[in-house]
Amino acid sequence: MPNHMEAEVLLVEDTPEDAELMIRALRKGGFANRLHHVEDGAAALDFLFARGAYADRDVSDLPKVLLLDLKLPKVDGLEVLRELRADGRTRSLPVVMITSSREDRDLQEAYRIGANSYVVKPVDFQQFVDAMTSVGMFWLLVNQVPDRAAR
Amino acid sequence: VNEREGRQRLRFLLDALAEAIYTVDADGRCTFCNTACLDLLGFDRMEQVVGRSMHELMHQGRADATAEAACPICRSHRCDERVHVDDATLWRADGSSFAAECWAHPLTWHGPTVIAAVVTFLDVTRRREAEEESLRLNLELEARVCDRTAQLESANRELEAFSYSVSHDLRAPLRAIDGFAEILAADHSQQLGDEGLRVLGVIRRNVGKMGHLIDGLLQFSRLGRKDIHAELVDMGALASSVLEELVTQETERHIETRVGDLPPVAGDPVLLHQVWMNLLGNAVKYSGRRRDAVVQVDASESGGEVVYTVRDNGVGFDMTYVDKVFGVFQRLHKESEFPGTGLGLALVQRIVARHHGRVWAESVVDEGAAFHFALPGIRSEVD
Repeated sequence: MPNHMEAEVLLVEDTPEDAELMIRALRKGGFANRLHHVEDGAAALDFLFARGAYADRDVSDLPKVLLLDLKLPKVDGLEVLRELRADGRTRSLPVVMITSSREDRDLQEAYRIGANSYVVKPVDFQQFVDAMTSVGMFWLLVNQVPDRAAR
Repeated sequence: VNEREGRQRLRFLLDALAEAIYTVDADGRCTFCNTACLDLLGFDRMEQVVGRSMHELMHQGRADATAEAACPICRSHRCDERVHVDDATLWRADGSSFAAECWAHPLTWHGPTVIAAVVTFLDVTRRREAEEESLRLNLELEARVCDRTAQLESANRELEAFSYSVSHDLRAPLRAIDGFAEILAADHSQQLGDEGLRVLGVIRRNVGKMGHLIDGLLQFSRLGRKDIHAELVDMGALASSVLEELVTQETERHIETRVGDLPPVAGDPVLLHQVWMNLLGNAVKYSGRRRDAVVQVDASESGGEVVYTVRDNGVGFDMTYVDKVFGVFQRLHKESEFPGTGLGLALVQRIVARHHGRVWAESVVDEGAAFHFALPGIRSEVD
């Protein structure tokens, strides 16, 4: 279990099988070493805002990327995204929506409220691994985020 | 004698009419009325009517009376006007009323001044009732259409919710099956052995197939809801580029392609691309066994529409089943011979129908097939 104090990737995924596959896919590219997994939107918000079970975290210690499932129990993915964008501390946190839904309205809504990208999980596992590798590669290695002090 | 006989004959004729007729003098008093007039007004003899003011007697001469000066029928003897009133209410001797249509003609035989008028009228109660009934039925029909529309809209919303959950909920377990089968293959191949791996391969292939079916079904249902973004589409360029792309993928075959002169059309370029993709894709697929495969596209214009035709010299199909080719999940060939989901032509039909066009096909087994689709021509759009 990676230490959640220094997570690079926060994965929000309620289906355990999907989470396991996603972590496995990310691990193949070496992107799961500092990954923290939570199972619902409320836990994700607690983690990012250092509340509840995560009260000992530092709010400014944001992951490099948030992988956010669309359909989640309690607080759904779009709702999480909306709250993150409404708060100055998390406004620029890279958020990748990762979902089964190919519905246009979900995609449009996600971008409208400030998602950085939107990935539809392929049924085929190899394609799924490829998609996850690209996501990890881009957001963990290629993408530059502002200095913590500047955020 | 002759004149008396003439009067009698005239009287006989007037009494035989179904239409009521009466005449008035310059004061609006009755000078004559026929039998139909007596019957309609509920009198027995002409003497009961002659000499009396017709306005007072029958035309709104009741409590809510219109003044004679304002009565349109009286304008004929007062103002020398021809009058037609199709919604008059006339009163009978017993105080009951009926709907009537009246015509009044001023008579000016004896010079320019009006000395009398002749008025004819009909009881139009039944016609009025029929009109009211038809109005009522129309309103009822409209209300029913509203009801049905609301039902349809709610069915559509349900369908939307359904396809939404199909997209999310059915794909998720499939992904898990495929993913964990892959894990089994990758991490436990030693224990599985060759036969175990083969069986696992079958599972994964079928997962993939089901994934395609779900995607196709979703695409199909989404089409029904998608708005058509019509613009001028260069069908020649579109068909050529699709065909070229398809032929390039067939690296181990030679396919001869012929694209004729294809007129442009007004339509949604994304959807029309899909039509060409499916029709040309089929032509390439079903001509797969021919060494001299030919895929041909041409068009003709007639009766304000453009008919596009895709022809191949492939295996074709039995015309007995022509009704099935455009059905959802209908296939005329075995999966092992020619893979497919059975949705391609159903999609084509749906897209063309949404463009107010039509599709049809003909074929001879082992000689080839021709698929036609007709779309409204641009010139007819302008008209």
